[in-house]
Amino acid sequence: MPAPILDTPRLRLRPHVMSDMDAFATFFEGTRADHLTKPQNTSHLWYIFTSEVGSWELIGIGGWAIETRDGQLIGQVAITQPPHFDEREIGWILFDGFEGQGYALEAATAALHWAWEQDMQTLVSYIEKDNTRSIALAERLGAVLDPAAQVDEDDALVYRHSPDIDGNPEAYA
Amino acid sequence: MNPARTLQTPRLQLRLPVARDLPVYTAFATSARAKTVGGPFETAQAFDKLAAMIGHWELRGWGRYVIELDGRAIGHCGPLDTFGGTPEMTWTLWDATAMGQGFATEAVQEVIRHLFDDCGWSDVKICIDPANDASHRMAQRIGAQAINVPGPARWPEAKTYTLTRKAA
Repeated sequence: MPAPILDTPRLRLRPHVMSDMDAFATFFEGTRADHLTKPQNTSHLWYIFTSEVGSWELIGIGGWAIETRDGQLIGQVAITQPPHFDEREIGWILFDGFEGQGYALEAATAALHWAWEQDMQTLVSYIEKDNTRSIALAERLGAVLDPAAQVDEDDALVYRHSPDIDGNPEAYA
Repeated sequence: MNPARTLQTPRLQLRLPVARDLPVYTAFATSARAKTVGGPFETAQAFDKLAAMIGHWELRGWGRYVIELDGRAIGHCGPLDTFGGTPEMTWTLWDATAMGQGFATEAVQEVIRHLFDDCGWSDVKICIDPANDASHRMAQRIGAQAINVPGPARWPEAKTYTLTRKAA
């Protein structure tokens, strides 16, 4: 199963297409990716990117491209759980120039809705301690810091999303 | 035509990777046998690599097949194109007990026949670890010609071959 298409008032979450990878390459070259694990080379980028596509078939979750209603690719939201993650994670990236307009909030809200519709009980976001903008977004989504949750990296925090506290339809209002 | 999603040989079925392949593929990819293909890999890398095989199909409309023998996945083979160059023909047997019986040759020859004859592809390249004698012999058996160009950036020491429609 490919990624399901999810529509929001201003955005469409859709399966990735090949040309999306160029935008990812540009994004990872820039400073906006400094809080993320950057690919070591283009081959590594290929595996990161295509894995989030093929993940849908393997485990029923993966990455969505975020595009505006006029078809502009602006980032990615992904629900993933590679084997070294203790839990399913929801993560997001916005490309340069599209921040500050609530797009990540709107896209992540749609992805959370979808997750709760699939009867997922909880999701986490692993966020670097000094990634203040992502922490602010996690909190706007209603996630709460979970100091007891397991995480591999010393400088990461775990924010926990739950169906009863976030992703509800009022988030669109 | 676009490459078929399933192919059949006298002894083998070729199909897209699916979820039930993950434990079998992971066992191979994390083992010492994966040394000739850049491994052994971590479990998380094995997930990414199998997921990437499926993602390749979704993004390019063609890709690598899992080789099944009597319903059991024994390896994978098929074309790979990570960056838009000449597609690379690849093959790997996951199951050591399946080696030495011509299965990889049988599977790869059918994929090549399909790509060249049915789909009109003109050539593929092949990259093989210098120490992987069995694969070098197989490359010669299927008509590939050794060429003196470095391997891809991810694997510069690989020995490279080309296989053209005329030679196959």
